Amino acid sequence: MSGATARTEPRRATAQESDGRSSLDRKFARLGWGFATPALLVVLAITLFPIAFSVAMSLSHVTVSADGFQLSGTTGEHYELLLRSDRWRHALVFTVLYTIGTVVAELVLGTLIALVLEQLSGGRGWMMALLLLPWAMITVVSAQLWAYMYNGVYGVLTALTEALTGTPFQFLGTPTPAVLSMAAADVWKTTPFVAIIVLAGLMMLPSDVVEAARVDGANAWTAFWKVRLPLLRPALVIAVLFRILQAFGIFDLPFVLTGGGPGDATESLALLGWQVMFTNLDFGPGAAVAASTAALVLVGCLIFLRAFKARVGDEETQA
Amino acid sequence: MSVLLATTACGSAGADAASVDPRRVGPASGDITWYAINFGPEGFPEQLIAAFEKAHPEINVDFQPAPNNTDTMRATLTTEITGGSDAIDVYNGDLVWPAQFGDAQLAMPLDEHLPDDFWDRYPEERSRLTEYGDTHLAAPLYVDSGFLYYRKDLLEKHDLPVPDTWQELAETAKLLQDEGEVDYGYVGQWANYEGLTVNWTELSAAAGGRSVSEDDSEAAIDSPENREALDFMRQLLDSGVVPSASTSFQEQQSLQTFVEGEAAFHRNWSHGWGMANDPLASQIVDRVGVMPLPGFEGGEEVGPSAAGGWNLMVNPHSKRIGASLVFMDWMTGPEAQRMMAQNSVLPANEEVLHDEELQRENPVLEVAADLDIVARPAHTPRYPQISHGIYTNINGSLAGSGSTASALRAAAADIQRALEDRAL
Amino acid sequence: MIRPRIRFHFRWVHLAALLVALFVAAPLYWMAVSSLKPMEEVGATPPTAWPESLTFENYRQAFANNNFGRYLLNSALVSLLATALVLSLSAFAGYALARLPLRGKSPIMIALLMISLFPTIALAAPLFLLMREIGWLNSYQGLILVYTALNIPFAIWILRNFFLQIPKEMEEVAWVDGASPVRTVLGVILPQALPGMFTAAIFTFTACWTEFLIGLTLNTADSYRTMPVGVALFGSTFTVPYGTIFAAATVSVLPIALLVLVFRRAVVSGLTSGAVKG
Repeated sequence: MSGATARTEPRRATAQESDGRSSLDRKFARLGWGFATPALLVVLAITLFPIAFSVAMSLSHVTVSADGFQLSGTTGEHYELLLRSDRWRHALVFTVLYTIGTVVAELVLGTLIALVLEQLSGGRGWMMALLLLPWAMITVVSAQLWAYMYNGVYGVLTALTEALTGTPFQFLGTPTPAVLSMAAADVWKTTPFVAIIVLAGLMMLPSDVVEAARVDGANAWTAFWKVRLPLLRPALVIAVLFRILQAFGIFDLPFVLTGGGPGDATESLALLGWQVMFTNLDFGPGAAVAASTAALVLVGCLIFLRAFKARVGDEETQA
Repeated sequence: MSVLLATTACGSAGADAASVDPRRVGPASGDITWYAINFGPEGFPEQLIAAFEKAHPEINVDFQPAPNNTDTMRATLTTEITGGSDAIDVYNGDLVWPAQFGDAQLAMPLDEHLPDDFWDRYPEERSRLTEYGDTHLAAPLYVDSGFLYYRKDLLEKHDLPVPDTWQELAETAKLLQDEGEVDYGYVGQWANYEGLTVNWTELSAAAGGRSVSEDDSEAAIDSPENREALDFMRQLLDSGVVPSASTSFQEQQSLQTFVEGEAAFHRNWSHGWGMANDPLASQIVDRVGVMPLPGFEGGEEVGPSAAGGWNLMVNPHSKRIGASLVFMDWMTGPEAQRMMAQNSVLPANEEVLHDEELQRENPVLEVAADLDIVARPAHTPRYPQISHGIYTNINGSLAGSGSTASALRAAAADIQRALEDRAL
Repeated sequence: MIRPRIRFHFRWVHLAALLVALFVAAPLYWMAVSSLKPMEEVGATPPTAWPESLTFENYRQAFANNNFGRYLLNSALVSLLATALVLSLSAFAGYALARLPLRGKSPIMIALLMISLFPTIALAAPLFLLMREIGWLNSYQGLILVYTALNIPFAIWILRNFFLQIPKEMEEVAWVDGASPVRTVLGVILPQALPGMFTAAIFTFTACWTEFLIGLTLNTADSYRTMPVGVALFGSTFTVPYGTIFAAATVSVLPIALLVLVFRRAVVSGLTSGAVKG
């Protein structure tokens, strides 16, 4: 790690890299900790207890009572329960496929939109403002908006399909359309997130590299594919990473649009976790759903980072 | 914090709801907070409070509106009460909550503090629905039931009788559809949620079935009667009497369809009457009739209606139990209950429910007074899981992802798992 | 030779931008239009493309019968302060993690990721216990602190990425000139990373602005309720008053659009100083 890291640090610090850490190096390290500690402390102070508490709940017999949650003994039975549960397995498969589907769609669409916005000479600010509106809507309300538009009787989209084809299309009544309709609502709301991150990334690209490619006679496509896309990778990685974990936690859309239905067609892990925890009041198994979801997303994110050869913490600055 | 994390030796929660210690109730005065989802007309809870404070100037009630989703409200209450908070004194609790809340000690057992004759104000079966273990955990505030709303203008026009059975309803509906009077024959609540358990319980009971055995020990949903009921529901969809969209319909969507004049028959709670006759919301004002739900062919004449409604419950951490109990007593007493009846909220108080003068003003009240009531299987703390087992499988089957037989088999397995205390 | 290509390019881009705008705006249009319809028209079949009888009743309803103005103010206060805290803390942390020789950067970044992926539903109850212990239920500072902590990880990730892309020469000049570390970050690094700051700011703000479950759990008293919780109070058990909800939602997204338009200048200027686009 040290070889790669060193290059990202101020040059004066890299001079003595093989002789161990110089005093200057230590000074920079101290400075680094001084800069990083306040943020990390705030995060730890607030999240450490809740996360530890949830994990503890997932590993204990939990009794809910007026005196609070009583945890007794250590047990793996909640996790065993998950592994044997068809409902959990089904929710897992749905969530994974849904995440892959929507994130890929959003990545492609978001990047295209960012490229379009980048080319716009005027009105980019207005487009950004417009793009942010879906993202800035309360998720429950945007789900209600789509539920209203998809409604089988007075929904505008239903009416549109009836005008176009003669028969009203039922968006939410049967499994496959319900999943696709939900994904469409999701893409509408979250593609802007990807687009804006990618756009910001595009803006940060060193213009000389792109210019050089153009001077070399590369056409726009090659210049994008060979020069800019690789430079854009860090921004794309972040966009995808955070979209994966948001998509994996999808809750409001199925909660409002379908209630997880028809049947269990759109039951996500987050919806399952919510129901087990707050509807059935099974806090141990509910915490196990939540903790295992977190562990699974983490694994997913690490696999993704590995696959994208994105190194975290020791990247090089420039190609 | 250490207290919260402390482990206890106690093995099972058991059904011992009374383990919240009886305690002194404190003075019947002071400020209390009432947490409830809005009900009745706009501003109705505040009107009730104003009347209460007039009768009891020594008590101030602060109304704290809850999120309008029952599950979200339950989540907030659970967090608050298990967290030891006394911010809420009294809260509205769904009719199906007492067992679960008793088991988790989220509601204060009331029998210590209320006289035995307190419960005489309710019909016997209503009062029983608030018990868990051997104690009452809730006092019914207002009730609700399933009603059949129908287009009396269309029935008159085509000289058709009011249907006695679901089968007759389907035929009549089909006829009206064929005549081009309405797009759809019947709408109910068949979406993937608690409301489908309600609709299912009614239809299943009409056909002579039940979902859980009488002693709450095992699943009873996979029965010939229930196969008949589910087959019938699927037929309604297949024949187009029920719109295929109704597998995503809750109260709001189905009622909207009906008041738009698009359906001939409609099952809903009591608020359907007011809405259907509200010129600001409805296309079918004064063209609506209301009656009990139909029976099933070969069964009883009148079908049972599911019990709904909300109770008052007390936070076990409340420091104002005395005042809360006075509030509870007044809200379930004649004055408040009459206010409800006059505002299209069905009173829980038996005397008010059977008041003939009030019934003349509100035909729903008249129908409600003599309904045959069926309860959802909510005597066990695991009811939410049982209900989920019912509605997902029925909804999945209605949406075409499984046969009647396989859906009921799967529902039986899910219910059985819940009864055996397995969370998943 | 080049000119016609550019002109063609422009037309293509404008068409694409128009399509994007339509895709994004259509549902928003529907929301705004429905918020201007009276109740019976909201549920009308077939739906009307423009209100037949235009009314502001839904807006009156949202503000008069519900304490919505107060909720909006609470949300604005909490979101703005949390965003300011997140940015000031994350800018330095992001810089340190991008440029300074810290041990264990990888584990730190992964740990931050883990924290932001832990499901909120599992955090709500223990956070309630924590805040009750501190005595910060029904307060601004409690919610601000929680939102700050939950949004720092993403902000660090984003900002660090932008800092990594800034040419090192700039800060080295500053080091050589003997500028203090804090001044180097504030005076040299941040102006270079304005698009990143903007991105982090806008996402942090919207995350706080729309957060529901924790706001619901921590602040139950009416005077401290936030806007998303307020919207969930509309209606009753069996009714979803779409008109009122959409009126509230329309009001609630406008500040975001304004914010973006105000900060647009900052983004654009950050751009032109950094790069010239072809």
